[in-house]
Amino acid sequence: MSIDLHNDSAILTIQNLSKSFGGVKAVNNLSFSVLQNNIHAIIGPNGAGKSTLFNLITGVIKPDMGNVQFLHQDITSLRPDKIAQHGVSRTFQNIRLFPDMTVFETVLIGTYQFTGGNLLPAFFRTKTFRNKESEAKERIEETLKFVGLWDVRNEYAAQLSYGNQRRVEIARALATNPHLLLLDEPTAGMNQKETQELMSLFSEVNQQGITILIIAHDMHLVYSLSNQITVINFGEKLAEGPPEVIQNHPAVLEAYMGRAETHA
Amino acid sequence: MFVDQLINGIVLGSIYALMAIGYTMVWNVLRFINFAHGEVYMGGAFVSLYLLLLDTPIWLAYLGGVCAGAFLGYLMEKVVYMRMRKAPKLNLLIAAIGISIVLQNVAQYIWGATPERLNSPFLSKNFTIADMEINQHYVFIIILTILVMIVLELFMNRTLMGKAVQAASQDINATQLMGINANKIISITFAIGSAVGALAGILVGPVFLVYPTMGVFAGLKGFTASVMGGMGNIPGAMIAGLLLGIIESFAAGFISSGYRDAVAMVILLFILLVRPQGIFGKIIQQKV
Amino acid sequence: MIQTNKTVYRKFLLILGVIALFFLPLAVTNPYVMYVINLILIYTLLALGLDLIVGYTGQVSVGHGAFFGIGAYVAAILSKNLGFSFWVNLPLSIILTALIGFIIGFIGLKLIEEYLVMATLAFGTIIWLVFLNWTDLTGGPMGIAGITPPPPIKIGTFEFVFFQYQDYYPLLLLFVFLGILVTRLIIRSGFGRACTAIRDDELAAQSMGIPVFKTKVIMFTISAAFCGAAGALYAHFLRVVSPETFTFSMSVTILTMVMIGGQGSIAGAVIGASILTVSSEALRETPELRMIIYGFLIVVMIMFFPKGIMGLFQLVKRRLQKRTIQTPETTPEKEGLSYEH
Repeated sequence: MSIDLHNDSAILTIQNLSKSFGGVKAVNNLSFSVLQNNIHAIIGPNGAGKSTLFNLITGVIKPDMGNVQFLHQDITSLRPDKIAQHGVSRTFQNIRLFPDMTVFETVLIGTYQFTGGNLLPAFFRTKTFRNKESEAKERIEETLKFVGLWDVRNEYAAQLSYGNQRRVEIARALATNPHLLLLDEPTAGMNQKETQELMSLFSEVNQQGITILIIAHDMHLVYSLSNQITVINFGEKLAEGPPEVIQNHPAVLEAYMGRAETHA
Repeated sequence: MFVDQLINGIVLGSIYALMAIGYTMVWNVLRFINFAHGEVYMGGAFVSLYLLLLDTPIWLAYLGGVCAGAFLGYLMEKVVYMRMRKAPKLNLLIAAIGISIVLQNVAQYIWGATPERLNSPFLSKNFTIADMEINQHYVFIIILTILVMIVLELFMNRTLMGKAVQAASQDINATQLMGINANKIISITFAIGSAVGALAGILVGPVFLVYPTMGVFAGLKGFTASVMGGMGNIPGAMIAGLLLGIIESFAAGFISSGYRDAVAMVILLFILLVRPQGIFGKIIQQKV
Repeated sequence: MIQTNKTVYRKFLLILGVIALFFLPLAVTNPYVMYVINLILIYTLLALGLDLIVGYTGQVSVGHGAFFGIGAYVAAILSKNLGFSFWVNLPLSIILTALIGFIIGFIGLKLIEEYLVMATLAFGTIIWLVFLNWTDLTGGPMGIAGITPPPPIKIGTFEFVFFQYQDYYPLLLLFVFLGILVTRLIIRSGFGRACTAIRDDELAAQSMGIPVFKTKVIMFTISAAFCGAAGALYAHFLRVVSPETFTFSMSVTILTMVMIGGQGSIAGAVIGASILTVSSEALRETPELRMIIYGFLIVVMIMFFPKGIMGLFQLVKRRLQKRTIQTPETTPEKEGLSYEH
């Protein structure tokens, strides 16, 4: 796999990002880039600041210092909804679905920016409005078939199996038509088979031209799926590189892999 | 005249500060504002009033009112809020509104709507300082408020229980992991906050009288103070309470009596519009 | 295909029922009963309006009684001082109430849910004090009497005059249907779905590109506008307004309607308004007892049946459906995009 390190191909650039909570530095002077069309993994021990990093990128929390650039635009100070509209979408570590919605309705929420929050067209059911609605519904049908949820589209999302709930979240994120997809431990708590299925799903998503930034604990998944890895610990970058490099990186072995291997 | 207004303001401000503490303490452990806190203020005053009717010594009647307030707060938490820990916050808020209405109208049903004066040993006495007469009860309010704040400060920083409450303010779940029973901490917080709120009601009773809806305005003003001070910031709430009392006292001079109560309401709306995170700012963090 | 036949059949029944409802005055001869029915219709509009913000967006307001009051007073003042007719006052009431709703929403919806509760409580108090004290404009504690009824409607040679309670009924019913229609359009639109998403999980909704604050403020404005319409109807129907109607208790009563009937349900708003209007009339002599019961009902409903009577109804329905053989489901394009039936 050839990685173009030319600067122009960076879809997301993080520079000197810092955030502390009550004196504890969750993210400390962190800089790295995610290249277009990559599957970029973030690994690190629990409490290393990975989820904080995602929340900083998506604008849920604001950094104390540093900035986030997406497609050469500074998105640091934007609200989460604006960032989502720029083409950054995400899933959550602890699944966040809408309890009263069916799978179809949940994914429909992802199309908000296309069907629009504008009330007047909806009131008068204008032609463009109806076209947009049916377009969105076609897209959702496509997405649901793609992630394998079409058969359960009318069931309540929160009542599905854990694995399928993850898929709903992914489908909802895909419905926003993102350029960059952030996945926060998407395979946590899943068995081998479910993990395998999700991994191939991620590859397919990636093949459609969507860059993926993924937080994961499963080393096997990280090494076989990603083509770039950033290791963080105590909010700082420990190492970075393709899987072959990270696998044998002494600092990483010491700080992280040693523990991971005793687990396995 | 100026000094009179200032003293009035400080007295009012002490009351608002005491109310604000209740809101802000509960906010810290539960991230929830107890809408029914004003009814604890009213309940404490009514219990004191009732105890005085039974010829209880004044200090005991006051103490009884404070204990009743603490118990009322504890009860709300145990009977209603505790059972709704997993419910959406909207539901908790609606429940609090319901409790507030029940308590207000129960008080009205039992004691009627006519305002009554709570007795105070100091009310009829004045201090005379440099040609000025200061009601002793006012001084009593100010001294007691300062005392309560010192005790609270000592409790929070010098006792194990206080430290546990503080830890719970950071993260209630972490408290549970540390082996401290989160429910117990929440109960204690409710009881203390409510005791302080009830004390405020009792202290006000001799001056502004006791009636079933007395908690509505006091609650709103205490809440205003807690927002001004930065929700969750206890010293901030104390200072903001004083500030609000003084502002209100001076503003009242310019406004016809009919709109007097509107002053604090307008201040609240203004604060929410301009600086909802409070003057002394404590950023409200969303749990992610 | 049985499904489609069934829906056509249902729609037919529904239309029949709606037409039949308009002829209700023929069956009701007691003017007091007619008066209560008219009140139910006005309260239904209020409950629908509050439900938009409580049930569909997940924000609590205890100031809707004040919005109702603003609508009523605007109509009363315009009618009394400028001699405007109902048909002019209604849109003006709606616009002004919506405008004030927008301001209060803008102030109260910024950070946390509690701020809206407190902001609406403060706002309601201010408005009530204004009704009470601005005697020149509002008539003070006495209020405003002698508001003109809506002008007669002429269709050809037939003239419809608003004189008795039953004359108002079709007009009020028409506005209730209009309110239901508007509510349905809103909740089934992308905007309405965004509101529901905010109610269910604000962070997830925002992360999907929904501008949370803006959406809430718009919904709050619409919600206030409903109360403005109800207020104008109330003023021209009762022909007298006074401050004691538009107190905190009124706001609580509307909230109780939504909680009893079931938040997030149109049928729930109708049921809640009906039950509460009748009970309020029955408990007229003992206001404290009435409020104790309402407060108690709010607590009990939210603790044990947070979706009210309609929620219970749906629970039973869902249980029954599970027992019968699963029929092929309708596609979401036809149904299913709303939370109603």
